[in-house]
Amino acid sequence: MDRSPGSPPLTAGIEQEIVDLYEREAGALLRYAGALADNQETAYDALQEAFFRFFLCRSAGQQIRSAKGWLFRVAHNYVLDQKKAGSRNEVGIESLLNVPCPAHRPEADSPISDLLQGLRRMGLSPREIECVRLRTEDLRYEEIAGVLGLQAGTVGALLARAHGKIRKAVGNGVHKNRDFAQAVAGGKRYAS
Amino acid sequence: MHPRGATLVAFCDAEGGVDRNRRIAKHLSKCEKCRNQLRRIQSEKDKLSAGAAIPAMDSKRGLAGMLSAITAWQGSPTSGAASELKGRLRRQIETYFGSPAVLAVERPGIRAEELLGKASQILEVFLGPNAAEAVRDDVFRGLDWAGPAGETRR
Amino acid sequence: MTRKTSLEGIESAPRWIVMFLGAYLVVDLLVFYLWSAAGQVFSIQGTTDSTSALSVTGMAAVDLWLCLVVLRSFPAGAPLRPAWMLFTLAAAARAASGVLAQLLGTNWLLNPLVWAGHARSGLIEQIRHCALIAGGPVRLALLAAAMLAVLRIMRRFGFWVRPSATDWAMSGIVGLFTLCRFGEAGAASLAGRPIGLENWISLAGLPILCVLFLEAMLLRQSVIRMGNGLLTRGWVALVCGILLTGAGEVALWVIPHYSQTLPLAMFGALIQLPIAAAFALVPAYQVAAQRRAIKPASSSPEGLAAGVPALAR
Repeated sequence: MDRSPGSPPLTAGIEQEIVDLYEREAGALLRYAGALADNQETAYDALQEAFFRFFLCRSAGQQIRSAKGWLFRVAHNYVLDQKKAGSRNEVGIESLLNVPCPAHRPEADSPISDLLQGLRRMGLSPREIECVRLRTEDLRYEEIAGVLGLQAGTVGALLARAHGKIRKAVGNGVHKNRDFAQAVAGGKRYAS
Repeated sequence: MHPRGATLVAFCDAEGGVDRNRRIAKHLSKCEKCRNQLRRIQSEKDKLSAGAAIPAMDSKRGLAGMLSAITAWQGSPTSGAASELKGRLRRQIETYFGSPAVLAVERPGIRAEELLGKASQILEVFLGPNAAEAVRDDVFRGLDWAGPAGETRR
Repeated sequence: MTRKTSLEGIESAPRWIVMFLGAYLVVDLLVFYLWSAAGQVFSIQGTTDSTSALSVTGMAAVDLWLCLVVLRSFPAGAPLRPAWMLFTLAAAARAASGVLAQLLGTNWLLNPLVWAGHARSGLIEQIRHCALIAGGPVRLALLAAAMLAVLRIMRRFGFWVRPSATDWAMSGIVGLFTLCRFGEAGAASLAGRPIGLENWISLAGLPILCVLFLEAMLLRQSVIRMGNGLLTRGWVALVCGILLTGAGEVALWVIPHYSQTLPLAMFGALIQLPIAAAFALVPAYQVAAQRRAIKPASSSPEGLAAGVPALAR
């Protein structure tokens, strides 16, 4: 992380940066946090928390190399903190504004696909599931490593292990999704 | 020699590095078994990515809420959250450097963001960037951004 | 927030170092007391001043390992990385010197050079001299350069204080001692007495020790300006290490002028370990502070690690 001491805070530029980033990453971040938290309100709080901290850190002059990875890391840690606390007694930003959570709660309670939900049943460890989830959000290994507190090399190993387990589970017919099983077993297409 | 599973997964994710990927591509052109394995990995990956649905959310409303929060924060530099943030930063500097160091970093009437910047800078230099990042997380953890500003807005 | 207070993990390294040093000193002082009480009827087997004791080499190895851990936490371009690189090299020089002097630089049974018939070829003596150079002037020069880098960073953050009269006086004592040593060597040379290579190596390190001592005094002032935090403890340990090095050198030179009965070798061994421990405490406190920063985020439910930086991985 670089910093230029003495430079004035470029708040207008930072706000535009946040707008761009929000439009680009908010959906994926909310999906990820929702899957991790099993609770859409916590996920929304994590989203707002991540972006607000991003604003504060940028206003403080911090240069953030990978904004996406940074936001995912903050959201990840926020959700874990909330889980640790056990109950959702923290006041989120929406209470500051007294606005309701913009995520549509009833139908969005399980935003993650059946496939990702099924990963646990396939015997994947929490870390492997997290790696798979983050990769589906197009995070680089280095960014995933940053989010989960791992080495980049470990991310590759965890993903390989996860693929092995998925293949084994599909082979044993653990997963009920036939399309997935066929796709995995048959290798419908090869994307280079 | 066949590449390991992790190597093929990394190749599939374009993560292996240019030279390594070139070697693997060369091997794949000759090895049917590895090509099949790579196809499987790719199809699993495609399927997992396609399956992850974007949750329904009102992005414009969320963004508007975020920008209002930022404006509210900027408009009330002495809010409860700002004071709490400054207090936490002071405590971190005291913990890692000592009480006199706070005087070197802080000046009267300093804004929370400015103190955050200065504290981050000194922590990054002396503690290392990763540990400083962890300290920042610790400072932000559970901070009630609402505070008196939030109460007045309700 | 609750903090770990047990002796587990690398973050408890400072406590282990202090405990080990305490135990070592207690045993040493007990032996010294018994020796005095018994009327000095038995001889004390101490190491000579040219070979590092096993415990000192072990402590240097711990120092090196901790320095490497700290160095990893400062990526390329980080302002303190050059300083930690130099501290690591200084620790490596001390550890290498200890290993060379202990393993290959002495005529003992487990030295492979002795088996190979090099016992009288002079090779062992050369290795011993190399060890002395590495552990003496080279290490001190590396430390002086590292200290300079640290002081420049301190100055950047406003922790710079001009040296006081006490600082100048303390540095003056070491300067005076250096002059005495050079004067003694010059007098011996004029009188036609030979000066051994070991003495020359020791003399070469003294001007660097003077610079190091002045830097230590400046660092002491900066640390006072900072306060008593987790990070500043490491710098305090560094100042102590340098002060002890200077004090040890002065004492080892002064004692024979006043007493021929005191076991110098034992005193030398007694002072060496606290010096090594003080230097090992520098990275140990740094690691402890870094771990403390990272620890709160790393415990999480469901076996998931929080996104914590590389140090904790």
